[in-house]
Amino acid sequence: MTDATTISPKEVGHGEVAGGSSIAPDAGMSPFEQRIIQLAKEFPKGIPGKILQNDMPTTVSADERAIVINKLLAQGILDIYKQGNELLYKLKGGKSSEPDQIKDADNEEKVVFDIIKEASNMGIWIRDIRLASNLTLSQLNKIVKSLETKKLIKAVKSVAASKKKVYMLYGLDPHRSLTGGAWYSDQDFESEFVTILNQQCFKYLSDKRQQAQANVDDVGPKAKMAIALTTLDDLWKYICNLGISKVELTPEDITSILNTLIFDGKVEKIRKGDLEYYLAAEPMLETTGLIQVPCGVCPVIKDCSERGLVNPGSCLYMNNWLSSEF
Amino acid sequence: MSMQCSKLCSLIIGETFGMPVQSVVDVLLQKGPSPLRHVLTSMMKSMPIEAIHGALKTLIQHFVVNFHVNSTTGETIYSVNHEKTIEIMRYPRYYAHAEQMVGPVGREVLEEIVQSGLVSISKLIYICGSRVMKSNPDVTEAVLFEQLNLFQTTAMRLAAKKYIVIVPPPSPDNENNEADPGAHKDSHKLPAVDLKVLLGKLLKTNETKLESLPDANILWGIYIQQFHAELRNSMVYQALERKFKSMIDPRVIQVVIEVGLERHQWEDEGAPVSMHEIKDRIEKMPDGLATSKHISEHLEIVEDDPMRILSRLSNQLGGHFAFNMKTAVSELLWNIIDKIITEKHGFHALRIFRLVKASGFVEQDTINEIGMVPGKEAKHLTYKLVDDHFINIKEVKKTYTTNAPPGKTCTVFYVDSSQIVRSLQEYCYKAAYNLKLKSKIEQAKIKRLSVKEERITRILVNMTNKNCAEDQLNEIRELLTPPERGLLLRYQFSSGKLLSGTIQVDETLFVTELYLKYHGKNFPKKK
Ligand code: SF4
Repeated sequence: MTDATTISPKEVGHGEVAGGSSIAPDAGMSPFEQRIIQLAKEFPKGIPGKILQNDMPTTVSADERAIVINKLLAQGILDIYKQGNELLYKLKGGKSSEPDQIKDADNEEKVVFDIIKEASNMGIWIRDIRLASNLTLSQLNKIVKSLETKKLIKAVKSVAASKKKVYMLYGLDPHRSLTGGAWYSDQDFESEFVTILNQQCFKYLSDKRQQAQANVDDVGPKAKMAIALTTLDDLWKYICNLGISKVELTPEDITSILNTLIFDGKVEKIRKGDLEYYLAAEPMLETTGLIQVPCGVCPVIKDCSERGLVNPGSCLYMNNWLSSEF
Repeated sequence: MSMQCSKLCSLIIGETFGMPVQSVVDVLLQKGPSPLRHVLTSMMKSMPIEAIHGALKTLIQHFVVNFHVNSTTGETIYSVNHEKTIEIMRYPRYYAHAEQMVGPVGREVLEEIVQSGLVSISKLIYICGSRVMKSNPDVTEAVLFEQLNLFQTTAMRLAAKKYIVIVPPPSPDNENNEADPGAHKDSHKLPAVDLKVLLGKLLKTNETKLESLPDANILWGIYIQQFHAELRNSMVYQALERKFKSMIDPRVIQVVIEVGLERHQWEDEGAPVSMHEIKDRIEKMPDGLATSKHISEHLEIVEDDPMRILSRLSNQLGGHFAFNMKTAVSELLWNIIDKIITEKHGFHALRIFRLVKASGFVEQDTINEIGMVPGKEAKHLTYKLVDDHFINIKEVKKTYTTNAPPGKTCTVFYVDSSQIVRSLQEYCYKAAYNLKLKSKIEQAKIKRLSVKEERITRILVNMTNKNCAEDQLNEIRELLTPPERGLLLRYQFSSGKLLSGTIQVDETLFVTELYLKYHGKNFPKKK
């Protein structure tokens, strides 16, 4: 498991690429992908499916092979042909990184394509493309549209600003900060999912605290505390085992949830040396005097005055409060 | 002081000292610090000069109005002491605390002192004695003497607990009025009082001259600071008891607070207390042995708490521990603010507030992301919090992004604790004012009926004394119809609720005052 580090508010949002795979051709490819490309180079006329199948280690299942091939197809690195009854896989163009279509494109399209490519899976905003390319907006719009029709690039909406579209290469998986990671599905924030996780994490911690509090053995407070304290790892495993998430949750995801609980004032983080634990917090106060009276929680207190339309003399909140429990 | 605070002060004065005194204070509140002639010019048409003088005298004696001599004009300038005036609202709590610590007679004696403002101990015992005589005209000499003795010993106990103190009479020297009257070592030492002389004076009912008594010039008053320290300790202790519920024995904290802050009650951090001393004291408490067995563990848990209210200053002899009252009071205040926000705007708003507080300066997008609150809701709540002055908003230049167009700004949110405390105080002033005003309105509504009830009660007392027949008494009782009785009952219930509401509001106000006492010096002055 990775280190149980908490994301401090300032760090979040500027994190590393997580989940998304920025695939720069030739680099960062899996050994299968590299092997397929190598094979394709050895068979410039196309690799028959059979050879591809035999060449792969037996541990690679047909499904896994299909996933990798589909990925390379989607990225425009491979092309597929049919010869008789056999399928042939062939390297597109000669250079795997450049799809055929862009080779035939004009210079401006190439420039825009390169700018977008550089932005990798973080994507780039149309305004920034314009600044970088020095093209007019109408020119740029046309080029972007044409690249989109050729399926060389795609527009992705960012979860941070739903109206802000960014462009990236067609085959890339958008970065987590754009998709929002586990908490988003189709750019929509899964608020209920977060709430459920928040409740489940709290329930786990709170049950443990209650268990500790109910312990009447003369074991001393340290032993009691040990029952109540929970590590991130334990909590993460517990949540994963609950099976409430469709997506795979990482310990970092649980840390994010724990942070919301800390901000809710329901959980505390206890540091003991280098170790960190989480503990369900008991509130210091049940309530406070001010909110026991209607004016303390009144939504119109600013408009309330002795001689105004809203006034203590005729106030409904006050009258209801005074007649309650009479 | 804010207008809201002044309005509340005016109502409090009216309630405590009556309408004429309130109108004198109103002049000072409206005009600010003024010489006597300003007060006289404004009031002369509605009040005789002697009454104005009398009102000012009462106010000065209760330290509600201060005065000082203007060095250039030589005139005496009068001003309202808002802090002292607001404290009047807290008296029911002081009384209840005194009753808890010294018993019901303690409360009675304290109430008498407060009503007099400043009083010598002989006069105090004399007043209490005359009350006994008034309520029981047939009291025997021996019983009365016993009672006087009880009042004296109670006053002694109040002084020993530092609830009352010798106060120098108000003087134009402002500094003197601000000085801590309890600082002197003899300031809680009761003078000798000859009870026999007092008894003699009481029995001669027309003998009210007490100026000749030896302690006539030693004036005593309530020592608010002691009440504040004890109320603070008990609030902090109760809060921590809840926080560490069933995990540790909270009496451990109580000992560190009481021992550490015994000498210097208002230090930010108490004096270090050794583990041995804590253990010793705990062992003497009921079921203390079980706790003392694991004493170091109890202390370690409090020490590890993220609030950091307890620090270990050395490891010698099991360690020395100091309690940080400043931090504890701050935590108490932030917990109060959390409760208010949750109650007003829900738990998502609380999450946003605490997130902004922990982050320093933060943008809306970050709030949404870390707070995991849906964008629209987060924005709505953030602006509600801004509207209620819980968080502040600031436009900053986005100079850090290279590709942002020049001059582009972004909005960041932050928490300004001094502003929150001030606005919370304003809410408290307004809530207390509204409750008091409502009480006044309700009282006015029922005025005619109250007068009728009073009259009937007086007649009934007279008739009972004259041994009238039950039928006759019932006839008088029935003069008050059932609906009228219902109305009076309802009024009593409402006024009781309004009064306890004010005390509750003051509880919150008290914590803000404590917070300012600890942090005040670092706060920028209100513009
Ligand atoms: S009197 Fe009524 S309207 Fe005015 S602040 Fe109080 S609750 Fe609100």
